[in-house]
Amino acid sequence: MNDEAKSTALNPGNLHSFFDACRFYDYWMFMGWADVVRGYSRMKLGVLWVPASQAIFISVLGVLYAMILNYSAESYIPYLSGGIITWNLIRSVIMESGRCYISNGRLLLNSAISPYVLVLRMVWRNHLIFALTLSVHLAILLIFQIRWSWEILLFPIGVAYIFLNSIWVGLTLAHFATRYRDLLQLVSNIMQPMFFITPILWGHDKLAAKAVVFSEWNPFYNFIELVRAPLLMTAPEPFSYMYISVITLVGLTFAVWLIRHSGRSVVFWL
Amino acid sequence: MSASVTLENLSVEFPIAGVNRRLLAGLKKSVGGVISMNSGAGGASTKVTALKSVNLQLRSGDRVGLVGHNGAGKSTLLKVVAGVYPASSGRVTTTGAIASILRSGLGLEQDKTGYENIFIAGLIHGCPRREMRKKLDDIIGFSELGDYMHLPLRTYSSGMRTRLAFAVATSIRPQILIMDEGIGAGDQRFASKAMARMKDLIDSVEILLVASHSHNVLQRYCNKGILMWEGEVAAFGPLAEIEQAYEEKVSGLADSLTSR
Repeated sequence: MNDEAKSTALNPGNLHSFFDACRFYDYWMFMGWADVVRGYSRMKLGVLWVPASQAIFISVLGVLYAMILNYSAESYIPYLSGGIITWNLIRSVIMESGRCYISNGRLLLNSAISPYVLVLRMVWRNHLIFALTLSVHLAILLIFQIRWSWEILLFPIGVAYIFLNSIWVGLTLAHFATRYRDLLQLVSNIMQPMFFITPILWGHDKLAAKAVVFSEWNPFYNFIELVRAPLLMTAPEPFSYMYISVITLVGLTFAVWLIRHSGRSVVFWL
Repeated sequence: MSASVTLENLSVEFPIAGVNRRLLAGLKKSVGGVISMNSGAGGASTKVTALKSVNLQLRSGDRVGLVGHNGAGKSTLLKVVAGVYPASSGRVTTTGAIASILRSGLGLEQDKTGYENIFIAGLIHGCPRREMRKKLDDIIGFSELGDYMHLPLRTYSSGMRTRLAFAVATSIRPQILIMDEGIGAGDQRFASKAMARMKDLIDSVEILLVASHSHNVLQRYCNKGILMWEGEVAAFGPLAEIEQAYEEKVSGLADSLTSR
C-alpha cells in the first residue's frame, strides 16, 4: 500500500517475489509465533505444554526401552531426546508444508500477499517449537551430567541445514499439494513408517551391520545426525555433511526452478 | 509522480482441474466466463476465460465504477490490477502505491486482542508495524472499541469485528485503491460515520477502481464507469452514460429472451 509494502503486487512467478517475502519478516515472524501460541490459548501452562509433552513422551519411552532392551539410561535417553526433537521438527515441516496455501486460500484469493510468506511462516513456526523442545534435551543433558565439548558448536550448523531445506521442501510440497491434493495423504503415509525405519528409537549403540541399509543413504538419518550428534557432544560423519549439502543444493535449485516455471499458477489451483 | 493504471491486451484464464468434461461439453451458454477445452498434444485442459483482451488506461483523478452482471469479469479485473491474479497474457502496469479492499476481516486471529489484530490486518494490507503504530490512535478512536482493544477478538460482537476491520482497512492511504462492493460497517449510527470516513479515504486517493451493483455507491464515489460484458470492456466513459448503457444492454437481453 505504500512504498515500503514489500509483499504486494509482485508476480509470484518471479524470484524477486520470494526475496520480498523473506523481507516481509514482520508478518511471518509475528504470525509464526501466533500459530504456536494459538494451540495453547486459554491454558494455564500455555506454550509450556510443548516441552512438557515432549518431556513426558521421552521419559516414558526412554525408561521403557532402556529396561526392555537393556540399554543404559544415561546413554540411551539423551540419544532418544536428541533424535525425537529433531525428527519432530523435520516431520512437522514436511507434514504441514502441503497445507500452506490450501488453508490460506481466502487470504491468497483476496489480498496481494505473496504465497511464499506463508511457507516462511510455517518454517518459522516449527523452528520456534523446536527451540521450545530443545529445553527438554538440555535438561536431560544436565540430569545425566553429559560432559560439554566443542562439538556442540556444530549444532547451529545442523539447524541451519534443516532451516534451508525446510524452505525448499515447504515451497515444493505446498506448490504440488495445492495442485494435486492426494499428495497430502501420500506424504503423511510415508512419514509414519519413516519414524520407525530411521534410527531414532534404536541404533544408539553401534548400528548392526544389517541395519546400515536403513541409515546410510536415508536422508532423514543424515539430517538428524547433523543435529543430534552435536547435541550428544560428538561430530557428525563428514559423509552426512556432503550428502546433505548435495540435497540442499539440488532442492533449492529445484524450488527456484519451480517458482519461475509455475509460481504464478498457484492462485488458480486454490 | 502521478498514479496510473494501464492494461494492455490483458487476458486472464482460469485452468480448471478435475471437472467432468462431458458435462461441460453440454454447456453452451451460461452466465459467467467463456468455458473452453483444448485437447492438444500436452493433454486436455479446461479453461474459463474470465477476461479477454482488455485495454484500459486510468489516470490520476479517475474514480471508476465497474458495472456488469455476475460473472462479467468485474472481480477478476479488480484482482488482476490488485496483483492477486497474474495475467495469462498481456500486461498490467501500475504506477504508484496500490492497496485493495476485496474482503473485510481477512486473516484476523480470534485469540489475539483487537490491538494485535490491528497490526495483523495492517500487515496483510502491506503496511509494516512501525507504519501501523502511527495510525493506532486514529483506528482505536474511530472503531470506538475502547477497553475492548485489549480483549481477544472472539469476545467481540460481529458488529464490533466489522468496525475494527473497517477502521483498519480505511486507515491506509494508497495512491490507487481497489475495492469490491461497499464493505459493511456495523449499525445505523455507525454507518453514517463510516460513510464519511470512506469518502475521506476515496478523496485522498488518485485512482479508485470499485465494483458495485449499487447505484448509490457508484453515484457517491465515481465519476467514470466501465461496463463489463462477458469478460470484455464493453464501454468506458462518464458514469451516467455507462449506467444507461448497462440498463439498455440488460433490457435488450431480457427482450431477446422473451421474444425467443
